[in-house]
Parts: sequence; C-alpha cells; structure tokens
Amino acid sequence: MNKLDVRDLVVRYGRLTAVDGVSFGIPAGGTLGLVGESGSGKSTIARAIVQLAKAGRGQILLDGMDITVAHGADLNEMRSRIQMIFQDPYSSLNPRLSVGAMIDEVLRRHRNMKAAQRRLEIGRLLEMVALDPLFADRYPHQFSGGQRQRIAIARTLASQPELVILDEVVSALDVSVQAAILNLLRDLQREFRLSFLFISHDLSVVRYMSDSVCVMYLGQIVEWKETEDLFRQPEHPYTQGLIDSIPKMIAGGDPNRIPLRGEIPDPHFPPPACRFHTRCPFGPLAHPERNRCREDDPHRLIDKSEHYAACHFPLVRQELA
Amino acid sequence: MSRAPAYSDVQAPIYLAFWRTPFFRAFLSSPSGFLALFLAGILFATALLAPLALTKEEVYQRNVRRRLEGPSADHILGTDNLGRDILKRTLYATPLSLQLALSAAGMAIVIGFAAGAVTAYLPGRLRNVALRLIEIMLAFPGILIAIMLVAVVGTSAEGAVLAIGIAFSPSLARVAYTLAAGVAGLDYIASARVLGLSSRRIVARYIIPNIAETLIVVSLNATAAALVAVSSLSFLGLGVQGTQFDWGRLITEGVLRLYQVPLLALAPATAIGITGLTLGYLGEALARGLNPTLWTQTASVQSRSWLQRYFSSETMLLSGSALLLIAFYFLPWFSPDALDPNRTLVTGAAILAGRANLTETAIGSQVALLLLRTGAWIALLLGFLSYFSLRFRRLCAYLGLICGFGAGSYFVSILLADSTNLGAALASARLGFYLGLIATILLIAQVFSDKSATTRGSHNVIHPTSQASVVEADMSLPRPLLQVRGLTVRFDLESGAIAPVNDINLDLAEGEIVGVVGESGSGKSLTALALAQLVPHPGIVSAHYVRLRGEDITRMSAGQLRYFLGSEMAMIFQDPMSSLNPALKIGTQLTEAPRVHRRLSGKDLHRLALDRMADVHISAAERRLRQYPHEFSGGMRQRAMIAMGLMNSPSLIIADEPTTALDVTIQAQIIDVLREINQEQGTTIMLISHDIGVIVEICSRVLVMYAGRIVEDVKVTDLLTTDKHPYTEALIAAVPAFDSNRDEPLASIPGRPPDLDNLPAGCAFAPRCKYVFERCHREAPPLLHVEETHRIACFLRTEPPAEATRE
Ligand SMILES: Nc1ncnc2c1ncn2[C@@H]1O[C@H](COP(=O)(O)OP(=O)(O)O)[C@@H](O)[C@H]1O
Ligand code: SF4
Ligand code: SF4
Ligand SMILES: [Mg+2]
Repeated sequence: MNKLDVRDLVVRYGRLTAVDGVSFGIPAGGTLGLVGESGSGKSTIARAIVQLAKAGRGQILLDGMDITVAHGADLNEMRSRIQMIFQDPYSSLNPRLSVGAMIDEVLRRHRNMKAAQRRLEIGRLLEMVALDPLFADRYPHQFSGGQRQRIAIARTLASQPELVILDEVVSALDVSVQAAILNLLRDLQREFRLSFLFISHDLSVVRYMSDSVCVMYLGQIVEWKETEDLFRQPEHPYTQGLIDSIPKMIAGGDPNRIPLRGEIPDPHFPPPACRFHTRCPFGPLAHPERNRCREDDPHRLIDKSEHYAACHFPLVRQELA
Repeated sequence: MSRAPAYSDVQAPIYLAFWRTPFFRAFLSSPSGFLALFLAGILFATALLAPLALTKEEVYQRNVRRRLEGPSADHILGTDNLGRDILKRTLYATPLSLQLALSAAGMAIVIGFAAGAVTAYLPGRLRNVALRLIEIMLAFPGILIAIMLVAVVGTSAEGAVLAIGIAFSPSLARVAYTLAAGVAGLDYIASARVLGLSSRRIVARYIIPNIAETLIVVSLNATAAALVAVSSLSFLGLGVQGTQFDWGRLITEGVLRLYQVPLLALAPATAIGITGLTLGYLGEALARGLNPTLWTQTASVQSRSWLQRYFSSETMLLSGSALLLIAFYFLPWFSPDALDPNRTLVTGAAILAGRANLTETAIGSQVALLLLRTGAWIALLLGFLSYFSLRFRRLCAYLGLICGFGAGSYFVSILLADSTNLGAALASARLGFYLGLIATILLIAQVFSDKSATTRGSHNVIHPTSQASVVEADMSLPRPLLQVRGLTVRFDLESGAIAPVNDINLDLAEGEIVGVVGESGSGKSLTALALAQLVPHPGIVSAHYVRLRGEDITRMSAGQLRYFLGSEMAMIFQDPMSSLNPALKIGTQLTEAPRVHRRLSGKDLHRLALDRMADVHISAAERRLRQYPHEFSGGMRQRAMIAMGLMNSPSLIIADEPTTALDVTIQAQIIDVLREINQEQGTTIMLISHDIGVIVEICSRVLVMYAGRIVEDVKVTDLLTTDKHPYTEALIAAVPAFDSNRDEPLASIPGRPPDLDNLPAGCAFAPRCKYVFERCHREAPPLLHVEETHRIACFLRTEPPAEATRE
C-alpha cells in the first residue's frame, strides 16, 4: 500500500479552481516529484495535504485513512506524521525563537520527553543535519540560507514524520549549498524510510531526487511516469517543452530543442478540452487538423491509478507511427 | 522578559539573573537605555514623592509681594504671578499630568488594538467597511476630534481623557490591523501550524513576540502624544478645571508672562519634553531588547572604541543638557541677578554699540550668558525637531554641547569674579567664548558634511585612483568596448572596512556576451552596480580607469556621465517590478529615456517603442503600451524592461540575474531574446547569473568571481574541457547534470564563502579547496594567463608545486 494516495483532489480559492482533479500515489520510502510552471498548482497540493488549504473534493489517504474526513485525536495524530518544509528559509523560521527553543516546541508537542532528554535530542537532531549542537542557543538571523534550511529539516525530523513535503526547498540556495542539502535529504530518507513529495520548478533537481514524477499544467497533472521514462521518452508535449527549456550545459544551447511559446493562460479561464492546446507545438496551432485537442478533454478517458500522459497525440507513439 | 526562560531551558539549566539576560544587556547597550532608565526613575519618583514632600500650602499659598521674581535661593526657578514657587508647582503637577496621559493613552490603546485585531478577522466586505471607517477618522487630526468630543462630553479632566482616548484610537487600530493581517500570512506561522502546535502556543510564541516590539514602540509614542494632547486641552481651558492643575494649565499661566518670567512657561514645557524624551528612549531601548537580531549588533557596538561610544550624539546631547541644567540650577545662588533678562540684553546691546564700560570679565560672562540663553532656546526647538530627523538630532547634540561649554565657563568665571581674581576670571570667560566658537564651527562643518554625504549616494562617481600600478593586462581583445582596471567597491562599516569588489580588471569586446558567475555575495551585482554608477549610499567606488568606447568615465563630470551612460549602457535587474514605476503606463516609461536623450518627436518615439516591443516579442504592442506594469506577468515585465533598455540602442547591456525569478520556460524565452538582440543589433551583453547552465547556453566567455575577485576568465567552449580553477570545477560539479547518475551523491563545496571582513590570508578559496597546498595559505594567487584566452588565479594552474605536477 502507498504511504500517501491522493484521489481526484480539487482545491478552490473562491472562484478559481487551483487544483482540478489530481490523483497520484507515493510509496513508503519513495519520492514523487512534482514539476510545472509557477501558478500550476504545485504548492496548493502541498498545502491541501498538510491541511493549510481545504480540499474541495476528493480524498487524501495516509496509509489508507482519509485525512479530509478525520477529526479530533485521529486528525492530530495523522497530521503529526505529515510534515512540510518551505521554500524560503528566511521566512519559515520564527525570528524570535532560538534554534533550540523552536525544536523544543516540537518535541514538547509530539514526543513525551523530559527536559533533560529533550536537550539531548535537540543536540542529536542538529548533529543529524550536520550542524554544531552548540548552535541551539543561536537565533535564525545568525545563519546562512543553507544552514537555515538544515535547521528547518532538523525541526521537521523532531516530530518523526513519515511523509515530508518539500516545497521548492533548494530554489533559494546557491548550487554549492543546494547539492549538500539534496544529499542530506536523500541520506535522511534512506535512514528513516521517509516518503517525500518533492516540489520544484527545476527539472534537473527533480530528476535527481525522484522515483517518479508528475508534471502539472494549469491545475492538472498532464503526465505521471517513472523518472527515467519521463526524461528519456516524454509523451506529453508539455513535458517535452519543459525538458527542452532547461539549459543543458551545451555551449550555444541545444540546437534541436523545440521552445515553448507563450505563457500560462489565466487560470480563472482555462482553455477548454486540452488546456495546453493554446501553446502546444504538436496541437492545433501546428497541425490544424488536430481539432480533437480543442473539443475533447484528454483527461476524460484516462485511468489515473497508474502512469499516464493526458494527450490525444502522445509523442512516443507519434514517433513510432 | 518572556523569552528568557525559553532561552535558558534549552541551554544548560543555569538561572540567568535578570540583568544578565540578553534582553537587559541589549536594553542597556546604548546610552538611550541608561537614559531611559534614569529619566523614568526620576519621573516615577517625582510622581510618587511630590505630593508627599510638598504641602498644599507650599504650592497654593499666595505671596503677592514676591510675585514674578527671577530665580533666587528661595525660589530656584522664580515665582509666578501670585508669588508661588514655579519649580514646586511644576513638580506637584507631575502625578496628575502623568495620570491623565496614561489613562488617555491606555484607553486609546485598548480601543485601538481591539478594533484593529477584530477588523483583521472580519469577513471580506465588512472588513473593507471597517477599514474605510478607520481611514476616514484618520483623515482628521486627533486633537481636532478630541476638541469636538470634549464639547460633547463636557470640559473636565475626565472628559479630556475620554475624548483623547477615543480620538487617538483609529491610528492605533490601523497599526494593529496591519500587524495582525501581516503576521498571519507568514511562512513561519504556517510551519508552526503544520508542526501541530496549538493555537494558544502559536499566538504566545510566534505572533506576539514578533509584533510586540512594534506594539510597544507605538504604545509609548501614543502615550507621549496623549500627554501633549491632554496638556493642550488643559492649556485651552478644556481639560483640568478648578484649583487642580497639570502642566498644560501651568503653561497657560506662563505664556501670558513669557517675556517677563520665561521660566514660568518653560518649566512645565520642559517637564513635558523630558517625559516625551523618556518615553521615546524607553521605546527605543525596549525594542532593542526584544529583538534578537539586534542582540549581536550589541557586540559590534561594544567593540567600538570607548571614544566612539561616548561621543555618539546621544551622549553629547546628554552631557550638554546636563551641564545646562547644572548651570541653571546653581547659578542663582552665586549671582542672583545674573539671569535677569533685561540686564543681559542691555549689556549685549552695549557691547554691540562699543560703549560698554563694564569690566571685561563682566562682558565675557555676559557674552557667555547670551550664548547660553540663545543656545538653550535653539536647542529646545531643535530637540523637538530631532524626533523627525537624525540630522537635527546631531545638530541638537552639538548645540547642547556648546551651551554646556558656555554655561560651564560662565559659571567658573562668576565663581572667580567673586573671589576677586580678575585675571583668571577673564581667562575663563575668554576660554568659554572660544570653546563656544570652536563648537559652532564644528557644528557648521558637521551639518555640511552630513549634507555632502547624502548627496554622494545619489550619483556615485567612480573615484579615479593612481595609474602607477595599472597592469595593462592584454586580454588580446580585438575591439574592446569596455576596459576596466582596478575596480574596487568599499564599504566602511562599524565592524571595519570591507571590499566586496576588490581590484578587478576586465575587458569586454564589442558584440560579445560575457557571463559572470559565482555564489551569492561574491560581488557580481556590486560590480554591475559600480559600472552603472548605482552603488548604494555608503559604498565608495574607485578604479584606475573604466573606458567605455575608449572614453574614461572616471574622469567625466556628473552631468556628462549621466548623459553618456544613459545612451551607451542599459541595466536589467532580477526583479523588474522594482525598477518599473507602478503608476506609469509601460509606454510612458519606455519613451522616457529617448525623450531626454535623443529629442525625438512623439510619433517617432511611439514608432520606436513599437519596434522595441517587437524585438522582445511582445504581441499586441499597441495595447500593451497603454497598460500598467501590474497588468503584465513576470516574464512580460522582464521583456518590457529589456525593451526599455534597448530604446537608446545602447552598446552595452548589463543584465543582473534577469531570469532567476522566472520559470524555466520563460527563462528560455528571455535567453533567446537576449541572443537575438546580440546577433541582430551587435549589442554587447554582460550577463550575471548564479546558474552556470544559463551562462554556458548563451555566453561566449565567462568570468568566475569569488570573494570580490575574478578568479577565472575562460572561453565557454573550454569550460567543460580544460583544467579550470578549483572553484569553477566545484561549481560545475555541484549542478545535477541531466545525465548524472542518480544513485551517487552530488558533489558539493564544503564550507561557505568567507566573511569579507575576515578574509583568510593567501587564497580566499583555500579553506574550501580540495587541492589546497602550503603556498596557498601564504600568498594570494594573482590572475594570470595560462593561455591566450584563459586567465586563472590559482597556484595549482599557474605555478604548480612539484608534487602536484608529478601526480
Ligand atoms: N549596501 C551594502 N552595505 C554593505 N555591504 C554590502 C552592501 N551591498 C552589498 N554588500 C556586500 O557585498 C557583497 C557582494 O554583494 P553582491 O554584489 O550583491 O553579490 P552577488 O551579486 O554575487 O550575490 C555581499 O557580501 C554583501 O555583504
Ligand atoms: S492533446 Fe493536443 S494540444 Fe493537448 S497536448 Fe496533446 S497534442 Fe497538444
Ligand atoms: S591557489 Fe591553492 S587554495 Fe587557491 S584555488 Fe588554487 S589550489 Fe586551491
Ligand atoms: Mg546578486
């Protein structure tokens, strides 16, 4: 059974449907990557899972139990098993609490420990993220971005979570620091058998971290694949476009890439049928006979319990034909 | 305070005495802390003791024979029109004045904060109505509303308190609303929720500590304002009635006889001033104590020399006013009629007319007294102004000092005059005069240097440095567009001077795209800002020369420079929103620069703008030009910024992280736009980015920066093949490549960039370098050619040690 299963999740902010019928699963100890342009709904999914946003429809199952309907002690217990780390290490730590005090808060809440035990545990947690235990008396402003992100990780581990949602956790960091944080996260995952939902707009990082990847566009998941498959043979034109956009360390750029034109449309008024048809280089823009893209929603017929690409004219099969 | 136990229970469980908590140490770390405690103590003691120590008779008993007297041994500050002691009456009014101010402020704070907090949690439409209401009330001055309210509730002390409590609440409500609404949306509140902390704990540990500082400062300011307001109402006869009196009523009595006995009004006014000052200092010190980010700065304050610490403006203000007070206090005992205003004026006029037949001593002392009196008045005035601006505060401090000197020497001269030692008295009076003169000159110099410092920031001219040491580093560029030698940016901080850009040489050829890469803080942005003359205020930019199109911009006048850079160079920043004016249409902003620089007609301007919009692939340009920046998406704004930069057809574009805030898809589009501009218009581009992938994609050459220096200058085609600087190598290895093995850990660079105020001796990269050897700790490697188009600052590459070559 999966650690987390999300089924047909819908989240609305007023009239805007930010997440529209999303389904995926994360096995225990596995990492699911979530990529897509900003505004595609990645963070909203994260917030819905940790109950910062309200699910309008659908199920969020932790070990088969639905969090959206749980309440009281059950809900509290389930929430403590799901944690989240935020993008900006400068705003996600309370500037008025010392590092030790902020970890202590979590230990008091979730672990039944005496003061002396807690002190030891704080030191151990800081060591676990490769920080000096003496840093416990310092305040967030005394640390660099990378160190703060380590503190946030230590604080998260204090509640002994099973599923950790990582929302753009390395986007604000320098590459040199980013690499160290990614390594740390993978080590911790192995050690504690954590499940990760890894959200990022950086495909190279997602590729490095994830076992399987979901690609989001305008509130929907347009493709869900094993990582290797997705990057070797993307089926959805949007996935292909994203991959082509990443700088590849080829001087002068990759001459074969097909650039994505235009920008994400206003999510208040998503295009009908295939939402990508206004930008798709393989859709009706380039091939006027492909009317189906404008008339028929490719999501309609798909079985979303396993990997898929929501496109009427998937790329791999095109090449085979 | 509340944080102290939490702080200690994570640490070793030692009990921290209150005066050793970081809160209290930070509180006292600057003179304002001491001052606040000292003044608050005096006020508190006066309020408690005055009614006990002074009998009603002393304060109310009339003695018409001794009315309107100047200071004397019996009546230290003189007497009022009914012969009552001014000082005693002022002291006696303290408890009532404070009590009224505190209750009015307390009421305003309770009403205001409650209303603000409730407003923040109202549903959408109701909240807007409430906010609108608060804003309407804010449009009227509080004191005006108070006067109208007094008319309704009746003129009495209670009425005045009620009126001011209500009238002052909207501004506090506004503050409370902003704080409550702002803090609820922060990431750390969200993370506390996710961590499952209870609401009570989130409020107590996450919300309140983060707004307490602002609330306390605002409350104390409100109390000071309430004191002034209550006094004003009493002054107008709308407050305290009957035989009761507060400071405001005392001023009413005083202003009528301002020219006869100035102290009658001055004494209660000073009391109000001192109370206001106390509250201000108290707020400042409390805020410092409550904010842990300021605790460590405390350390840096203490690391300054005692001289710097004790000659800060506050201390000077303090010492000046202290001397002044002492002089006022003790003078009358020695020379009861010295403070007689008529005599002073007469003497002054006599001196001016050259008909003085007084002894020189007397003249000297009269001059000193004159200085003292005018100085005191001006200082008092400036003291009020000093609330508004730092400049005035410093001015006030110097004036206080002058008065202090004047008063001190006057005091001494009188002492000596009494002892008939005329020569010494004369010398002392002269000394006082000259000291006053020197202080005045100092003051004038200070005010002027302040002014020049602020204007320096706005157009930051590069200071040419001597060319003796210029290395004519021949970078064998065929057509150099930009040649920079010895560019340095310095900041003189409290902790010492740092050079975030340290003596860099670089050349850009015409039509090149050159990348600049490095970790944050390596000096990339400052290099760009220095070239564009945009380094922020205390920064000092210098260079041997900076030649753009062969013209040395370090030797141009400010006017020339602005024109030259405006037409030759364009700058694009990471966040276009901060460089676009949100109130102007895109079209207006686009045509602004060429209107100034090229004197084109409106129609030509419009056509040019349309062309540039097409260059950056903005469709429907006609309509887009009529829109405002907020109607554009992030990618569009960046395109608009580039279009704006292109309007004058500059020969050089400097782009600082132009794609960092954008999605990869949009980043790819912007890179394409830049490449097209370079190819079609031949514009040279300097592209700053922390992402080496972006640089490889578009640039032909890359400059790698570390700790303010260029450590490598290499062609992009060689970047992935030849031997590189160890830092460049590590930077490249840290990027997860698209074909990297996912099972292996990523290569990361250990440690972090060095602190600029504590650079290691030798190679700055040595502490993190995996090839480091003995020489690296001793000498700093210079940037040298290893090939014609390749410069490296690393001994390993330029002069490898024997054992390294053998490997
Ligand atoms: N206004 C300033 N006052 C003091 N130091 C500054 C100021 N601006 C920048 N610095 C210092 O200069 C260094 C380089 O900054 P910057 O050029 O922005 O680096 P980068 O662009 O590589 O991120 C930083 O370490 C920073 O501390
Ligand atoms: S369904 Fe059509 S428009 Fe949509 S992604 Fe596939 S090819 Fe493109
Ligand atoms: S000079 Fe030495 S420490 Fe510096 S980069 Fe070269 S090998 Fe490393
Ligand atoms: Mg920068």
